[in-house]
Amino acid sequence: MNIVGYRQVRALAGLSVLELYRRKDLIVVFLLCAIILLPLMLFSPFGVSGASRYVDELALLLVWVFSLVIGLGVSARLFPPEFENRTIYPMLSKPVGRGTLLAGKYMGALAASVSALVVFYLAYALLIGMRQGVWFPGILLQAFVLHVGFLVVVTALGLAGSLVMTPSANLTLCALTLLGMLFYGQRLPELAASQQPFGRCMLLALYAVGPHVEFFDLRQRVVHEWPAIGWDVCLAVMVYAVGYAAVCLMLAALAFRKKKF
Amino acid sequence: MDVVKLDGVTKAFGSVHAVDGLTLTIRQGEILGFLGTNGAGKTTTIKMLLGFFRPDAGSLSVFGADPCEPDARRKIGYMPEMAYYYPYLNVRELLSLYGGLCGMEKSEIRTRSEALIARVGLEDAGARLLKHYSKGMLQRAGIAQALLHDPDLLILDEPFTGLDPLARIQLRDLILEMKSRGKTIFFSSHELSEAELICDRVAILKQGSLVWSGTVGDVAGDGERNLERIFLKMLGHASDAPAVAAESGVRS
Amino acid sequence: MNKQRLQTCWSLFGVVLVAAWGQLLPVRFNGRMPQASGGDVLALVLGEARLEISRSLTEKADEYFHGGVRDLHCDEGIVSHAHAVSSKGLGTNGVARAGMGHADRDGDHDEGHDDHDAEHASGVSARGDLWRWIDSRVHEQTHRHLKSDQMIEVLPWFWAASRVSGKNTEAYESGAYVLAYALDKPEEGVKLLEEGVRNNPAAPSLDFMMGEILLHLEHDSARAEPWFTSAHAKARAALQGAKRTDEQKMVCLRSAFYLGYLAKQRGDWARVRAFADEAESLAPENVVTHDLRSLLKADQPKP
Repeated sequence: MNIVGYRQVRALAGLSVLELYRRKDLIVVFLLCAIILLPLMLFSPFGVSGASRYVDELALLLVWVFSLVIGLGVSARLFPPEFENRTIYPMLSKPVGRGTLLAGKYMGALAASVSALVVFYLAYALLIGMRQGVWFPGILLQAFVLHVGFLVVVTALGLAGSLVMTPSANLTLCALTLLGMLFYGQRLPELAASQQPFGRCMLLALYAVGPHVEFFDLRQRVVHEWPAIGWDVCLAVMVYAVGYAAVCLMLAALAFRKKKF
Repeated sequence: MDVVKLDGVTKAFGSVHAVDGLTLTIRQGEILGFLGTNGAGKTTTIKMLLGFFRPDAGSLSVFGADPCEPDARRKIGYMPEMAYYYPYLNVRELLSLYGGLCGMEKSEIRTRSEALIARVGLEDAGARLLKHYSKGMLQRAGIAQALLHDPDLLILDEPFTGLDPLARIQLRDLILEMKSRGKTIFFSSHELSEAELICDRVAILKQGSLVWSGTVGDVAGDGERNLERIFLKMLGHASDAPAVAAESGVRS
Repeated sequence: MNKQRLQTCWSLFGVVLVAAWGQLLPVRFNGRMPQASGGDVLALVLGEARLEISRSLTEKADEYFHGGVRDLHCDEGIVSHAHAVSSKGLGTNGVARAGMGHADRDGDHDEGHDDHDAEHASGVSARGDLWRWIDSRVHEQTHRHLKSDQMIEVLPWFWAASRVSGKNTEAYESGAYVLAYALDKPEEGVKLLEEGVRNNPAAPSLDFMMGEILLHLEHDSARAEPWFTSAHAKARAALQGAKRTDEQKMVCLRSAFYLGYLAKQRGDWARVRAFADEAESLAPENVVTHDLRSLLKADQPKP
């Protein structure tokens, strides 16, 4: 990519980041987390204080839920408002190709989501550091890296959906798919085995092509102080994330190319 | 030199022929007014000139190049009809975005932005978010982004919509200033009075076809509402259209 | 005062009025309210699902006990682990806790099993399935247990389980064991069990556990014996019914053991013999029955 292309992508990416922070979504999310977690941190079951893993688990669950909300929220709003508000026209009238436009929008959504994630993880690291005296363990860094991989997939899915669906339909479909795969992804083959041929094919197809976001979920290891996984496994999972996102972006590019304004 | 050439351009959306065999040229340095009722095909023509989609038949070129290629749009500045720009940006950030899309350097964007913001009269609202702008202010922001990269061809879609009388005068002056600097301006409008005041040539579109084009000087006669009468006649809203045309000595 | 402020004041007044009326209604119409008396919000909202949710919460505690791993085929639960790691697992006079000898004999589970075989733990083969292979590398299912000082981590789940449903006896049992044995807070364990017994008057296991804690940790046999008596009676009543379970039989046997042991302390050999005979009729080969027989053999005066 030449210097012009880099400037174009940077300009587009900056738009999404600026919008996220100007909308104050992140502040609302932090307030919600604080409201939920603070009472739990002060709680002592049966008058005995010292339990902390349940707070850690809930904190990480909130990080995941809100990062999903932010990631999908930002990516699902990439294109529909541009069409509604007619800002797509001055954008496309500039000397920028549709592919560059798509790449810039995607990088913007990813940058916005990852910047919010950094804040979440810093806050979490401070929380466990202050409560347990363990500062920035290696497993937490790994969990962050894989969580970024999760957002790579989420924003690509959201962006692809934003070109073919309304924002609400896109959000609902993506959220259902991602949460379904997160909790039941690995059980699909067992479910498929008990189905009729058509149902079995559908479930196996979903298992094959659905986004296996459970690969990015290291919450259990972080909460229960397990050692880090091998960095080769981490790399393999990130390669999967990038590959999956690339496929989504290719489909998005095809849809965008055919789009008439 | 012809900046824009349309030759037999046709575009249909299903059974509706939005543009039907349109042949038109725009010469360098002139101001061409593109007139017609709603649904005449003005915006469709403009979108094809900007490379949003290709015509079904015929050919078109801008500065001798296919406008679907990104590089061909480097010399085009476009202001859409009533765009609701990003509500969470201010006008400086908006211009920074579009400047980046044009591949401009940051220092250049900064310099030109300040000059344009002052030129369109938005210096007092520079720090305000666009969601707090009135329609007229958004139009001015639109003009500023169209002029940011100093284009040679300005395409303006209904530029006078939403402007108060003072703003109209300012915009008119700006367009004439651009012309004096050798720029070519092509704008669509419903405001016949504005077209009569500033256009060198006018083209009237009806149901996707060009029904009349000529210079404003050609219609100068008694001067009062000549363009309006021709407009109405060409669109079939008066009985003595041929008589009027003959009287004015214009081509159709 | 302008119109808007007046409207706000009226709205606030309306809210306060409704809230106050909501509090007064049950007092004013006591006994004539449409809801069933004794019901609370949780019961209204969750209904029959309360017990299921409560059980899920105890499963969560088990998951925490196994280091965040689910669906492991592990015979050792929180209760037996709490027994094994407790330094007070032996009762007075060196008598091993009833029926718990096998936990000591099975060895120390503190280190857990270094079993990195993900397939064995998850029960599903990863062969030929790339996604499962990746998942098994990311979510290794190593079998492990919490150490005694970490057992506090399971407490919040037992607390939640007991709040959601007072009918979940396992929550009370396991919670009390963790409090009493792992965290060395027997008085808190006793309080929890008292609440459990109030909510589950027919459950013999809670009475039995109360007796064990009072005997082994508080060394208060006078307070412990009535609880063993109650447990024994409830277990016998349950065994007469249609739904006999192995757990009820074991509670009956174990409470018989402790009652026999306490009777032996007083020299009441007839009572000891009666309990031994009862155990013999219930489960002749059970380790508890052998323990009761050995009570009879030790220092027994000749009839």
